[in-house]
Amino acid sequence: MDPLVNGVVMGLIYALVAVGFSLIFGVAKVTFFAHGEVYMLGAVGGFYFLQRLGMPYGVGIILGMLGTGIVGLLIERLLRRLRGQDLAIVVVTIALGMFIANAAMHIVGHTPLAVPGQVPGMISLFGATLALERVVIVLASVAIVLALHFYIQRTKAGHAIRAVAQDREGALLQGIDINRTTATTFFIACGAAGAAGVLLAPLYYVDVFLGSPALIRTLIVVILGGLGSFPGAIVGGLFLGLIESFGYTYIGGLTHLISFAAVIFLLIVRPQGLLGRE
Amino acid sequence: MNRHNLKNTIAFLIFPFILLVIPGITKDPYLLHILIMVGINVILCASLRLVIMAGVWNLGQIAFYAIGAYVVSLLMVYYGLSFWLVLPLAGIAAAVVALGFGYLAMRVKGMYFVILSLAFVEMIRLTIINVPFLSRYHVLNVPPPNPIIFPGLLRVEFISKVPYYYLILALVIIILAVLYRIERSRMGEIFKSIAAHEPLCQSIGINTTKYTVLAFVICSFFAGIAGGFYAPYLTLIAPRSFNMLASVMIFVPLIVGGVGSFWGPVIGATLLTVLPEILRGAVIYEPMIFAVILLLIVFFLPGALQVCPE
Repeated sequence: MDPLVNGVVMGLIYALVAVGFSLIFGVAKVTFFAHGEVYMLGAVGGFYFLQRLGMPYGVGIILGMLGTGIVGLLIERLLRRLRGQDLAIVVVTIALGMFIANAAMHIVGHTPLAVPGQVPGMISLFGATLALERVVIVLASVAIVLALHFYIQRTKAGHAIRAVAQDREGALLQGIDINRTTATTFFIACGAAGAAGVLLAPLYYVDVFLGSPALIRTLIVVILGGLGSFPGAIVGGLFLGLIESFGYTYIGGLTHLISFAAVIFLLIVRPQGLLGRE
Repeated sequence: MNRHNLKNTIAFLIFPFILLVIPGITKDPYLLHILIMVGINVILCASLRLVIMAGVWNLGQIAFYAIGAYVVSLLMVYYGLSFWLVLPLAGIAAAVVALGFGYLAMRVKGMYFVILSLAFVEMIRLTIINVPFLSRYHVLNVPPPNPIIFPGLLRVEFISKVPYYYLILALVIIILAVLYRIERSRMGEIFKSIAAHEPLCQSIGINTTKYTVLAFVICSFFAGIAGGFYAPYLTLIAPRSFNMLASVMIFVPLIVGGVGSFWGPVIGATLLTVLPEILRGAVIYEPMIFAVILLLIVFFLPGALQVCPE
């Protein structure tokens, strides 16, 4: 039971981070290699909000979301000048990630930070005893994913986001403000990553260098699920979370190889990813 | 011979001569070490340019560098084979892996390939960490290359930095010459035209997959050779040094020096190897300064990133 619960928890966290990466790629055509660092900012911010300032969990999550969302807006302003220069964007986002991680190290230090558990207690569900905290994390991530889904599918701003992702010129001809839509995308994508960081902070130690492992997982997730696909990021995230959690329990360190083997295998049979389009 | 060719011929003749006499002027190990690292980075970067030129955005160069380093180390440490035998094997092993991975990975293009090649770097690194045979001690101690002996005439022992310096200089010259020939050949023209317009190339009957994989294999072969040199030179290797960021760092000089010109990556690799040495005084801020320099380059040197001159 434990590997399953852990797998779902981690899978949803991966999904929250990967959804943002995928969304930014789909809408702005930006490969956002600083996304791991945005997640890190959320996690380290979580430490400050929950541990230092003693805020309630929910407030911490919302503040983390807003904070990383604003970071996303700032980065979007910077990247706007490079629109269309894909290689330059790769380098700039990697350099930004490096800068953010090292700047954070000078401010926060590089020792792991412990965030106390937020939701004590256990709960019995279907005959199994679960830590209430994990249940809360699962519910919160599902709520955020659903909110994002609703926002993109049902609201006017969401329609604009989908329109820009489908056809940039077409969207422009319809009078959609592309800059504004891209900025909105960065805001919600970074906000989701930040929320994932705060959510996860009480479960594990937090440090300023958790960005690049998170980025690598995000890359695997989006390749598995299909780059630019919203449901793909969620399926890919859950898939990776479960593989890792069951793998660590039963076979140990070789687990990483299995997820990579899955990526290679998928490339052979379905290069566009599980749910990606041609 | 036009002026352009003349300029390159002079470059090919004069620079090696200057570099050849450096150990005669100074034997300072620190200076020679920097020059040797410049040599390794020039090989990595100049060969990476070939595949970028073919429109394949390969950011996974360090994976093949790692393969080369580990092939040489394992064969030398566990089987006691001669360095001179295993150095070509390092290149061949990297090329074989590149053939397999490239054939599969060429199904995706552009940014998808960037992401995939970065994931491949991690895959190789984690394989090294997790396969017991490869990381029996996590850090492998590699013996120096076997001495070169011409009976009665000459005996070169790899004790000081000087023989390493001449070895990497020879490798750099040979590899640059090969890359230069490839670029000027029909194959080079095909690489460039694939980058410019792939469907058009296909329409005139060029098998673009074959050629992009070929560029990838050549580039990885040289990366493997560089790795094969690196392991015995540093005498120890650890999987930690072959990470994603290090892989991107190989790509960066291409941007600084420009992808469009042959000497761009050579100059870029030299600058970006020497620069951190100058910044050494501010070592804790080094990654940040480096990041800022990168940002400044991209924002204030526009056009450096163009593969083909417009």
